[in-house]
Amino acid sequence: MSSRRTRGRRRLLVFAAGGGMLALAFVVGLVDLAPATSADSDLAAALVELAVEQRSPNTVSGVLFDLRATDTLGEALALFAASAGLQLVLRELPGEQRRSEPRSGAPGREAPPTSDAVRAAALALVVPTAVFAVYVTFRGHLGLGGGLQAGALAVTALALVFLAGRYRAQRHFAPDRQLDILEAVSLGGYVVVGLAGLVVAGAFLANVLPLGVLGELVSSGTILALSLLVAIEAGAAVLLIVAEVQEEPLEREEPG
Amino acid sequence: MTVARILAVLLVGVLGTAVVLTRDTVHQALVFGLFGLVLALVFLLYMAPDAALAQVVVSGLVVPLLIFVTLAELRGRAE
Repeated sequence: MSSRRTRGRRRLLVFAAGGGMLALAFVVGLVDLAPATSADSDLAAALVELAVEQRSPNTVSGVLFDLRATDTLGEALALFAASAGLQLVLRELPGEQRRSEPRSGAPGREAPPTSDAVRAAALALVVPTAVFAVYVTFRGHLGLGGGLQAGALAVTALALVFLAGRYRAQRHFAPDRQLDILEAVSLGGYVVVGLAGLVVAGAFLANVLPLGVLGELVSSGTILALSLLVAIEAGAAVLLIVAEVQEEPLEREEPG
Repeated sequence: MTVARILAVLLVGVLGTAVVLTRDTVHQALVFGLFGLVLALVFLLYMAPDAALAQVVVSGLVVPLLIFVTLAELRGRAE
């Protein structure tokens, strides 16, 4: 058995090797890096042209939900797999009792009281955060927002409710069963939109919905639709992950 | 602009080191959230506001939230 000191030295050696390589790769990458302000490049011009063509002033969304929409489908699938995998690992096994209450509400355990300042701040932030989440949700094709960010912001609004000590309210807003359905339906909807493109225009995820007028709320065809679907999917997935960790059955009866 | 960028990148390095050196998990989650916010600032300074927004919500909100919920459960189990 190696002593603590040699183990520490070995660790340092591994760190030096790994850190050295990372530093080398970083420097090489920096030397080769294109200048940050290359807005006049051919690629940028082509992307902006495409974004205007698809009535999406936000070029990033134009790329995410049109040009590279298949990549976004993969990302949404990864989130779906993460939440499904966690539910599988933390599922209720025979002999385990599922707690209906969070640990902090269990009888016989003194829950540390949430300070009034935290409660007041969290309560005051719930509505602005929820409004901002809605704003970001419906803005993905016009400016900043849409997709994952919107979903995560919506989850934050609910987390604030939890932080303010309104656990029951949060459960009411986020029932697992409905979240499961919501997550699956929104991800399935993404694929359906993609298949519609395949049938109508001959390409998976082709933009087949009416494009509308540049800059209007309902415009950009499937870009807005896919952005909304990803927002719902991401929000449901993150919320399910949090809920699953909170509800993990902790009581295991000894066999025999 | 260049000065701000250099400062922000340096701050990311400092806070990243701070995350590693923080031993207490609760404090670490807080420092990690701060680290994520400064990283978002770097994205913003390099004119990638979309990436910055994603960084804020994921690293500043969702990851600390998950860590806190998990820690709360683990502490309940230890008692």
